[in-house]
Amino acid sequence: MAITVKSMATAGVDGFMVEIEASTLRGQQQSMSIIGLPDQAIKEAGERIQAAIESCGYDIPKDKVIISLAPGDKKKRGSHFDLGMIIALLYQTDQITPKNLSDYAFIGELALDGRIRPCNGVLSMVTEAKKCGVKSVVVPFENRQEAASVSGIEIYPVKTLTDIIRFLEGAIDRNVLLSKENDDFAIHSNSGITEETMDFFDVKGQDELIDAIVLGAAGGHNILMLGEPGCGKTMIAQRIPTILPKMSEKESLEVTKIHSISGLLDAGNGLMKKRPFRAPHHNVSLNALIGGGTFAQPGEVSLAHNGVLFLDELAEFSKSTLDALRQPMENKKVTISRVNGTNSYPANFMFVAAMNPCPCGYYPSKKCRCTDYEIIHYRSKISGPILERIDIQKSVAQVDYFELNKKKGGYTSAELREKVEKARKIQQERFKGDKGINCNAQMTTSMIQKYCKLDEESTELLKKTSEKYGYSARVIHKLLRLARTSADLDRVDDIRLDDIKRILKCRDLDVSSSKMYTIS
Amino acid sequence: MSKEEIIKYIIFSEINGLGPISQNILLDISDNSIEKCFDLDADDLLSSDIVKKIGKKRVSLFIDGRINLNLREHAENIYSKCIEHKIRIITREDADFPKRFNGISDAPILLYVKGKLSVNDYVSSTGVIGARRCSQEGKQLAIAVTYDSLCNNKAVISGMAKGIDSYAHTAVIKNGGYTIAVLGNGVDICYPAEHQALYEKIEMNGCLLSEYPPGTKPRQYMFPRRNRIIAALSDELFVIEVGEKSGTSTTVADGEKYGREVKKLLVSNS
Repeated sequence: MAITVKSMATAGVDGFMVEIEASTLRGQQQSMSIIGLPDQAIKEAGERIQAAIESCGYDIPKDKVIISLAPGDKKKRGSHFDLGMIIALLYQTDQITPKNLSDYAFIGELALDGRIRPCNGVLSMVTEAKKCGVKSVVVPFENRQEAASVSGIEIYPVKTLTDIIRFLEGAIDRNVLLSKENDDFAIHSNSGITEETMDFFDVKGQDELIDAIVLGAAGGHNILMLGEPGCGKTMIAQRIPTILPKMSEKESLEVTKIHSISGLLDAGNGLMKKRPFRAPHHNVSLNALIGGGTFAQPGEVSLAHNGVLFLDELAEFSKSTLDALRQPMENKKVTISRVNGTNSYPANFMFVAAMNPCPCGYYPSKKCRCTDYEIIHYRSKISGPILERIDIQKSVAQVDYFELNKKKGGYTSAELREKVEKARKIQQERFKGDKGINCNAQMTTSMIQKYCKLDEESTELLKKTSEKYGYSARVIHKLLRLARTSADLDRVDDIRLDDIKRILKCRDLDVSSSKMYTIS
Repeated sequence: MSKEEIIKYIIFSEINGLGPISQNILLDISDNSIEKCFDLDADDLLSSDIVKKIGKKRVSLFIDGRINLNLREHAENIYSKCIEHKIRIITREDADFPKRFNGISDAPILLYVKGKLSVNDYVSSTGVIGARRCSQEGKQLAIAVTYDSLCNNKAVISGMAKGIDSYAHTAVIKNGGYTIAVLGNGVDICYPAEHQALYEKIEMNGCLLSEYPPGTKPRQYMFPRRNRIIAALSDELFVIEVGEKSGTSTTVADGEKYGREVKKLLVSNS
């Protein structure tokens, strides 16, 4: 009879259970075959297992060994099946006598000397194990914090094969296994790194821009910053995650899972508490941005899930790459299909972009000698549909270093975050009954009519401005959404004239482009 | 004008080593008729005083070139390309050929035109040229000068280059008027590329004009040569925001040579 040992596998962000069966066939030539649609890493596990068996003082079976990973019709990848496979094999050949084996699921890669190595995707697998009703999971020692962030399931972190076998046989106690890894287990597992290293307090002389950014963060509006080289666009963008509301447990789990399967989780960290900030270089390929590769891995848009995706030098990105952002921005998720499977990843990010106002970078200062045609041409590199999705276009003021030192910092991130959180709360209350809508930026046309009523004076101002710059109905809808957020920030029910004045300052690109003396 | 005559004109203009001055001289002695010019006896030519005027080498280049079959094939290609791109070929013999070229020794003998060449209908014309990398002040000056000319019903000539030139054309199109863009490349090519929309509008509101056949890519040395056409077409020439060593200085020199009224406009800080 074949022995069955539980292990887990990943598919996209989710996991699924894999049953490892080991069987020996007497009287056939000595060999080892692994079946169940394994990838190259799993096929090579045979060699690792044999070396580990040898070095831990067990005997390599003399018969034909078949190890099967069930379900047999699902492709599996990764090296973390090693541990389950070796346990199954040793048990099958009667070299070990584990107790209650069916209570455990095993995750871990073997080293040739029997140590257990860390692997990717542990969080997804442990989460799934809990769903499948597994009582305990054995994970590599280095992945302990990540695994421990799932509550309601027992985690056994192990360093070597010998440890886990002795534990399974009852030779050592669970406490021995746990106490081995000292106190840091308890401390790290739930804290993560919470303190921010960056703060908006460092940004000086950009009050108007920070105001716009708070507006964006509060209403989930995407932002485009326009500014000369070296005026602080990147510095500001890096600080945006610090004013977004703190991540909920659920959000945190989602983010950690994605980072875990991508192998980007730092060893020794549990759940990610900081919102991610992703800033891919403008040379980024379409697949790296959206997701892809042989195994349909998550791209930058998914790694930025629940955080900020920052595209610096927006005009330098290739058009096709940028246009591919449209779907994830709209649907808040991406579906990637490859030969090895189709995976859906969440991609709910705040989009922040920065670009120079003109090819030389210095418009509108006197230094700039770009012609209006060049400027328009440069700006038209960003396609309409992408610009449509950006509510706030704000120029970054040029700052004088020597003036800068005299200036006091504005608000701290904590203060700004409090404002943002309050505004978000109002929005959550407002959209309680509307599924799929969490913030003002996502309001539909009918909602705008319902929630964004203007008084006569405000309507007049909006009308006058839109006539001046030729705003389309769509842009006006954007402005109304922004105005709603502006009112929410000040916790007032009706949109006031001040709100309209404030948001009209958030269309710097439109205003600047409309001043160009060109034929279009 | 028959196709054959036009082909001959193209062959004439495409003979390597023969410039517009020689071309004009040869046409002058044949009563302004390309047929006559091509029928001139080779021996008579070599013994006439034309040799003294343009040199023996050029005369023999012309004699060889006019019967060169490769050159004829080349000319026929150009001709069909012009038909394809709706480009008119206007020669010295045409009524539409700019009268302002009369008496200018190095005026081109034929022009490739996209749009409507009606500069002869305008009593007066203004050339607006200047720096490509101009300041905001230069831009405002160009627009003001152009607007002024439009009010006086003048045709506005410029070169569709970046900067001042583009603002001059833009001002004409925005305010309604007639403008000619003299290009330094084939009229089927929009250079610089960002002027595509402007290029299309100029064709509708005036014409694009070049002495180079369609398909000719822009080359640095062609631009000073095209500048002389701008100077020749304009009665008065506004030169905005250019330094001593600017390429536009060749236009100024040409303008003065042709007896045009040249006005240099400088901005305060340039």
